[in-house]
Amino acid sequence: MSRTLTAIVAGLLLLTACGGAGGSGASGGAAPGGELTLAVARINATLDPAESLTTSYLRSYGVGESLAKIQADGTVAPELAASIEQTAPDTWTVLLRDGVRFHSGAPVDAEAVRASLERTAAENELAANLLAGLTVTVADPRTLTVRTAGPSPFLDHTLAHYELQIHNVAAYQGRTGPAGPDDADLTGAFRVTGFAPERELTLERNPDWWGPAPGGTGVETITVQQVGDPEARAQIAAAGQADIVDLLPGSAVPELRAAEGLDLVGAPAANTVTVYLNPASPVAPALADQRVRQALAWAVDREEVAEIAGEGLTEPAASWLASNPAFPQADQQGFVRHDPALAARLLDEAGWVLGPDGRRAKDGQPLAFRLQTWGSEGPTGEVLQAQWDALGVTVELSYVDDTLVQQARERGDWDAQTAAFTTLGNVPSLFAVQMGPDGSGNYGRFAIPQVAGLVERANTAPTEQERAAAVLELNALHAEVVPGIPVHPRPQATAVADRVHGFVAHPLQYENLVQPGYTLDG
Amino acid sequence: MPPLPSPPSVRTVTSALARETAVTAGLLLAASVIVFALVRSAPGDPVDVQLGEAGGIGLSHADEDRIRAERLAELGLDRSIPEQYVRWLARMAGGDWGTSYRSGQPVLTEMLDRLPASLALGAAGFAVALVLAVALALLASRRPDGPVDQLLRLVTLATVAVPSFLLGTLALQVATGAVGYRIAGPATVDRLWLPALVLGLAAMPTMSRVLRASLIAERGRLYAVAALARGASPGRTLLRHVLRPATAPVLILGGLAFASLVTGSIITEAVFTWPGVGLYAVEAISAQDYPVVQAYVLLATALVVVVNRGVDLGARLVDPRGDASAEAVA
Repeated sequence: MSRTLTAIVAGLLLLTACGGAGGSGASGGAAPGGELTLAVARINATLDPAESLTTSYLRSYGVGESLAKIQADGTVAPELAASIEQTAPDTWTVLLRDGVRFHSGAPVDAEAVRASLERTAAENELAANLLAGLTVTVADPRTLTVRTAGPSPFLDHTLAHYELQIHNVAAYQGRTGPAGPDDADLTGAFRVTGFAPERELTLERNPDWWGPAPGGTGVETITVQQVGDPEARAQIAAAGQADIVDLLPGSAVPELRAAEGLDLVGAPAANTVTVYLNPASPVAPALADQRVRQALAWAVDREEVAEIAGEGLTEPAASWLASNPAFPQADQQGFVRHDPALAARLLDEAGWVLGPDGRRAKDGQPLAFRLQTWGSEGPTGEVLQAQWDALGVTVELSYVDDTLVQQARERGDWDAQTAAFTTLGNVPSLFAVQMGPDGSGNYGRFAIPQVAGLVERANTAPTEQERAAAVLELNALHAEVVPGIPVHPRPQATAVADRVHGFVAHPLQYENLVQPGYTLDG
Repeated sequence: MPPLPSPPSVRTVTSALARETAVTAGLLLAASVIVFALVRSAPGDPVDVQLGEAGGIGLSHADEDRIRAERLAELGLDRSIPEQYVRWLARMAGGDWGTSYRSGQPVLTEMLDRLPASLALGAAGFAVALVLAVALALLASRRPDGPVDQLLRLVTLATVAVPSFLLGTLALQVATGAVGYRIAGPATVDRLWLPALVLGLAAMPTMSRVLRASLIAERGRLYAVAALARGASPGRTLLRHVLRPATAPVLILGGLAFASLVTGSIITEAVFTWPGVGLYAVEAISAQDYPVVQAYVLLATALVVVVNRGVDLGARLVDPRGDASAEAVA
């Protein structure tokens, strides 16, 4: 019996290996020399950069590039473009780098870039939204002209978006099935050699990449393995079984900080965990009162939340824009301190007075609301609940699946929910999404008349300083009306082995996992 | 030992097979309705996931609604649920398991790609469970309610009480530190042993307790007592006379356990990043990848139903009275 079972198991494993169930079969351990191993929460679902669940991953692993790139300080730098310049309020000129080629060797010229953007818009609804109203024309083999429907000072941010990676359209046409490693034809420093969806991606250095070669021992091959379980990723990092491990759970931070052979990098993300509020909630009518919303915001001790919920890997966000490194002034806007006295006064003014039981009430109704958290925001919700409880506010906290959060919103049956929009990109547009009358992120359907004018100013003001001033006014308006209470950027805990040099702590995680300039010890 | 009945006739076998096939088909059809209804009644849909992952793209409510409608139509999710069910069932019956929303790959291809890893893990886990169960049952049944039996009862109870995710996580932690167990990677022998051990430990207690009960029952039967009276040693009596009939109910139980181990090892596969169908299903569930989730649940149901009915049929054909195993299990 046991001999039979042994034979069955051996046969099945052989079949597994033949069938490629384990991907390329590359080692999961930290390999010497020019091999880099990554253990990540998710890899791309396909190899087609026009698929929306694929693009950011391809960028993250150094396979794909866009015309521009958002840098760690929040500014935009040309990537495949040599320069991107606004030549008129509604016109941008893109000059491509000379001699850039796709992985197949095909030239990256203006016609190829235009075809790539057109295909992306046709195949990917979300990218189509980014490109809506744009007209791209080829001026010469290296030059594109991009015209917009109106003034667009932030188009360079749009062209840096991961959904707009430049790919060789010819390689993706005429396929009958999903793109395989041989079809993937992009421009990054690494090209695909093997792919098992949701399991493993293997890459090798692109010898024809346009950028400089790394000094010292550079990375020649990369194995990226998907490890969905956060605890397993933490163990991989602690055991040194991968060079770079992303999205580590907060519970593992103390152990990994003490672990030898790795550096735990905790760059706060360029997004702000915000508690969005519903002023139309029939359950919590107090949230319709701006003073109540402001009081809740002043009562948050952000230092404490960042320390406890973020395991010290994040920082307070006094205002929504504070997580955008390009606007350091935003740190001085909004709720710059923990002020429970001001919070109490605002609630008193609003009629929500403290009773002998330590709870606030008005006309016999307690000041209470429901807070839904999801994803990595569970601990944040718990700390906030305790802090608001100290103010005399009762918070019914629930940690749920994000789809339940969305459904509650669609039904209008919610009081407060956490969410974290990215703060990097076309900032006026991001504010419009949250505060504009038709914004999909304006969950509470706030009607704020000043928003349209400020967005207009942020887009059309003649100088960069004036546009930045309008953006900061939008940020101040957000803090005044409080459609949401900013708390902290999402922490990004990444373990990087000591033998890897050149890691850049970037507020966008998809920009930092694989750097072309990495060098390796041993 | 009671006399065995004469072998069943061909007509009896054919009739039983036809009846079982009809019952199995009916069960699978009923299961397909339940599976489809359950999957579709879960909150949200695949478009929610897609839009949720695309944070930062400045969508207006109108844009979001338009994109949602387009995507739902593209996936065929804008039709009524009964219509979706009928179309899905017709496709499944024709061998088309659909296409994964995420990867664009045929679900059947992706399932077949991962199935060997799950079968290997299930078979290895079953082997571990069987070996441990036999060893513990032999020890425990030597002196019913004696100290060893009591101790092993405690051990099996403790094993069954520990959740498999906890056992798996602890085992992973210990094995990684102690022997450098490789946590992520392809389905290879050097990675198989640990999840197989965890899976086997989880399945062992029931098998062990059933075998113990069966051994004790068989030892008390007349033929075993007679063997001892004729001067056979207890060990010889056990090995030559008692063990084989006592194992029958365990094998029936084992068939069912094997089906559960292959399809029900989702947690173990997730903890050990074992690239089988269970892990595939977990990822599909979180992405609301309906074709994959439906195919997985139906595959699991089919395997359990077929094995269940097969074991049932086999037991009845071998012994139409069907009392021996029932007695031992009870």
